[in-house]
Amino acid sequence: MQTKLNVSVVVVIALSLVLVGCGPGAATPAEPASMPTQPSVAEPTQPPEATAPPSEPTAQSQPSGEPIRIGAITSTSGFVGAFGQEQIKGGQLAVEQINDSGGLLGRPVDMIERDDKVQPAEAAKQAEDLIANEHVDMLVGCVSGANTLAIHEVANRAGVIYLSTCQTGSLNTAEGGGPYTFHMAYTPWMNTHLYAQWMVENLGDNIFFLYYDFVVGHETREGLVDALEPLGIEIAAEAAVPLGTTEYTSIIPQIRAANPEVLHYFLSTDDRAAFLKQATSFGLQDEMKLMALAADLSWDQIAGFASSQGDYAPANFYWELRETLPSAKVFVDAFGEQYGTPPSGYAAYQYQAVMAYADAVREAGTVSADEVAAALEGLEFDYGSGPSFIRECDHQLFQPAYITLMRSEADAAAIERWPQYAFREVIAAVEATETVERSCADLGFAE
Amino acid sequence: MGSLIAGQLFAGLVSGAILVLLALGLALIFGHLRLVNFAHGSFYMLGAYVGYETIRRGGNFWVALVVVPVVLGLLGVVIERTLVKRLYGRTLQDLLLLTYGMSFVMIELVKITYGASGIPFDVPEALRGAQRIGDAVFPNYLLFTAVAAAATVGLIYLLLERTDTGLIIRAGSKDDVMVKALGIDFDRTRTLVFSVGVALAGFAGLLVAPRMGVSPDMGFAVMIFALVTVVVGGLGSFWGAVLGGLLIGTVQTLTAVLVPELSRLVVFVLMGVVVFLRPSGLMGTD
Amino acid sequence: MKPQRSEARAGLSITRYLGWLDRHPAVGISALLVVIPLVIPQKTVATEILIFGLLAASYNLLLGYTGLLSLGHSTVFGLGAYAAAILLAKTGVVSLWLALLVGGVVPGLAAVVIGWFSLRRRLLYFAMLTLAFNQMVYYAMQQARGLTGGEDGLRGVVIPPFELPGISFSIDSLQHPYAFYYVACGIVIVCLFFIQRVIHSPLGHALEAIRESEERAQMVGYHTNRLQLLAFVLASIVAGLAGALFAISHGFVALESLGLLVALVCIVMTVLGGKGTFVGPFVGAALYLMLQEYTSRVWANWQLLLGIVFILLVLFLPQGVWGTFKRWYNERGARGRRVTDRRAEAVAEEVVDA
Repeated sequence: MQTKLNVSVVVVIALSLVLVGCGPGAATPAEPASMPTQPSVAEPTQPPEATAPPSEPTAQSQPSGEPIRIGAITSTSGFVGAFGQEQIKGGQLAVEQINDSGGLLGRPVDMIERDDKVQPAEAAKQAEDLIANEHVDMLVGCVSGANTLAIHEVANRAGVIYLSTCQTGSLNTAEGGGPYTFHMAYTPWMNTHLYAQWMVENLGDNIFFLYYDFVVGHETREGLVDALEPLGIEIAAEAAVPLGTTEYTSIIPQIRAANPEVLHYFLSTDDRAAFLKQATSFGLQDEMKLMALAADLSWDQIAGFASSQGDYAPANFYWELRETLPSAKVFVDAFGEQYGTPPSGYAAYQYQAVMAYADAVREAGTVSADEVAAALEGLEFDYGSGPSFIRECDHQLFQPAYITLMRSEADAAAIERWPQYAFREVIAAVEATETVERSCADLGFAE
Repeated sequence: MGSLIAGQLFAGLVSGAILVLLALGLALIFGHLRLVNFAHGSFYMLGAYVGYETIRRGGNFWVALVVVPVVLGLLGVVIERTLVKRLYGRTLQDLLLLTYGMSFVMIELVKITYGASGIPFDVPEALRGAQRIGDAVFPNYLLFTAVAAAATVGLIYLLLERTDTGLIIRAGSKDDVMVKALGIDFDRTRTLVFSVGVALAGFAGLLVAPRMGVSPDMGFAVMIFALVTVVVGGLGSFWGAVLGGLLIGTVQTLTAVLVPELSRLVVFVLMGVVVFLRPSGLMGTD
Repeated sequence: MKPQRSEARAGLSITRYLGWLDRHPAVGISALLVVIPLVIPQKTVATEILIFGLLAASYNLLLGYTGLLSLGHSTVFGLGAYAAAILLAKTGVVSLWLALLVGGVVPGLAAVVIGWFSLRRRLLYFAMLTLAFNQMVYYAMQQARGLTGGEDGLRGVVIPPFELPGISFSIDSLQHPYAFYYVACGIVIVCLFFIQRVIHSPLGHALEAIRESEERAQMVGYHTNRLQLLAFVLASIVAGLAGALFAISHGFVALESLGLLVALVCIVMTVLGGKGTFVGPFVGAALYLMLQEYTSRVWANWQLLLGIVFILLVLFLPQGVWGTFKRWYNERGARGRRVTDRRAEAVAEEVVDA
């Protein structure tokens, strides 16, 4: 047995490590996957007025100097990869617009994107890498609740601003949050409180609640119960399913047997599509009204028109808002011009978060975390979802919710622009006041 | 109340039927090739996508029912001849790694072509609606699935029991050395068995598509359950796959109704108990 | 005469030194691990290689040396992580040594139970039993929300300082990356020497015998089941320690650390590097992690590349990257030795002629 091999071990491994150390740098943005094969888009007719970008016209000087670095960590691979890719697009659009109008504090903005592969430990690792090695000034993004908490842990330890853009109820509490973390998406509690009244008044008060049996599911249920209480209503019947359930044929008879007016359900992505299909085959939609917990363009694309008939759902953002909301029109048109498709809620959240950060930096006059955090507290803005503000005590975003209704395929085909994406119409708007979320005191903040 | 239970039992049997198709493919492949196909879930997924593509190109669901097994079968032949062939006799972890790698490749190629998210797949017109018997509702498509699955299982049974090839396959599962010693060309039957197994998986994927949708990751969860089914039923056994599939499907569906948090766990506990007490499975002869 | 003799002696002592290194691979690896952070600028990558390399090395003890394919190595890794994290986050005890202790002991105890049941069977059935236990533990940890945080993960892990009589410094990997790395490195090195000790001991030889043929080993008189259980427990303790380090490096633990993905990645790293070799798992861990990291930065469909690598690996490098390299080098070395022998002969002839 020749023994020189160990020297070569050292040499080979050291060599490969050196090569890797000089390996691909960080700043290459991830390529978004190509959009699914869709029938060709009819040439969109130009809207009557030219769309102006939200900031000043092109007479600005080029941004110069040390770039301001934004680290975007989201799931661009894995089963929620499509949503992460949407977030990246939204973020990139914001960065581009900022840079096109002179940068931030005169400096160019750089976005470094990382894939957290739907694993919280990976998200934490990327956060650590971005902070320690890429020296980012802030972190943004997430798709899953567990990942956003992981990123928060790291950002909090390092004292770096983090804007979370996915739903969780665990970030805006005194115990779970931090001085530099801002939750730029809804909590399950807020969600339920925004639409509960509309649902009861318009759809019915005999409610069957179908929900996911995990942390967010239970928080949602708590929120729903609390929201219904002042209306004098309780949940009539309920069923909980594990995440990833695609087989509902045993639950559906239960629902029918309870004979509710409204089937309110909290399911997402593929599970939701499966549920809707199966509900349709049982004719559930003929017997009761269906209201989801949330809606998103990406989810509707998965479910398709046929099974989603008559589905109501609230959303913080749906691209149809461009018809009624000027800020939405600006955003949607810019996004459409850039990518050829309308934005989903994921893209909107990220876009708004980056734009809000930019506003805060301008107000603070610096990227230093303490000053920016202070500027973000109480910040008001409107970047496509209507009047939005960030509450001071818990760093929580408040913005209106819009009740949407699924169109039939025939009705959608009549829409001029992007008929194949015109899944939902906006039928009502609900203002967001502080009462839709628990009070600062309830969340553990001294007030 | 009775109709509720009847409805749920029926649902459980149908979901079990799908597991049967998958487990059958896995069992055949294992029995004859001594290979645990960890990429089985990905073939299931491919079947759904091939079905989608067939319909998109102007075919309809009925055409897809034929096209999918044929295409998947051909794919199975190609893969067996090029990749799987080289792995006979290799260790379990090598097989795991190879088929795991194959899964990645298939899934990512699908994502690149069709997008990373699911795509809509509707129930064919003729099969929409439902039968109502008293209070119970039986969706037509579920009835169709049950019939299609049963017919397929019947076909496989005939293949195994009534044809010479089937005889070779069965003999090969029991004692491949002997079969080879008798001078029978094993390579051909191996390829056949692999491609039939793969075709079964793809067909199952097509059958579930109108109910559960089509997405690149649809194979993962079902793969684990199919593996559990095969282990519970008995690795090389035809009847094991059939009974195991129906059992697991029903157990899972009923627990989902009664004790939802446990529905995933129950299946694994069941498997653990079976493996511990009777490792060759309920019907296996390993 | 003298010059030739000293020349020969010099040659012999180099050979002897390298031979020693080959029989004590832990030394070589340890030296390498110490050097890595100076070569790789990103400490996060280096730390990951360290922790997952240790995990793969512990798995290698199971798979490579004992021949047991477990599908549940993440169970013990995750249990170690949770045990350490619960201690540091919930009990108020902030001690690195205690965290490591529970991180090793808790999985070790669990392994006794899991191993006892699972080892009643072999091969695929053994694997499926470990999988069943994995799912059960996952479920238990998921349900025990008060203790583990459920899907949200366990947060608020207080990172303990490194404390010995007379010394105390912070090892928060964000503030002091080198400190954390070298402390973790020290712990990993201790574990590696431990594994090396096991492999070179009669136990290790027995395990390899069992791997080759359990029947034969039994006939020679080994209590194979007991030995396998011992290996299972030892591997689990080391995996648990890796888990504890993992928890301390991130400051939190997610349910996914118990999950199937980690279990599969374990297998991949070990096979990629070369099971049954000491260095293999670290090579595998390094290669896998770097491959994943750098492809995922530029391509959302990076898993395609990974899949192709796996397929090519299994088809063409069945011994793993390091295993194949080692074999090639040994064969080359054998050739080299023949050359050296001939040269020695020629020198000897000269001497005789002189």
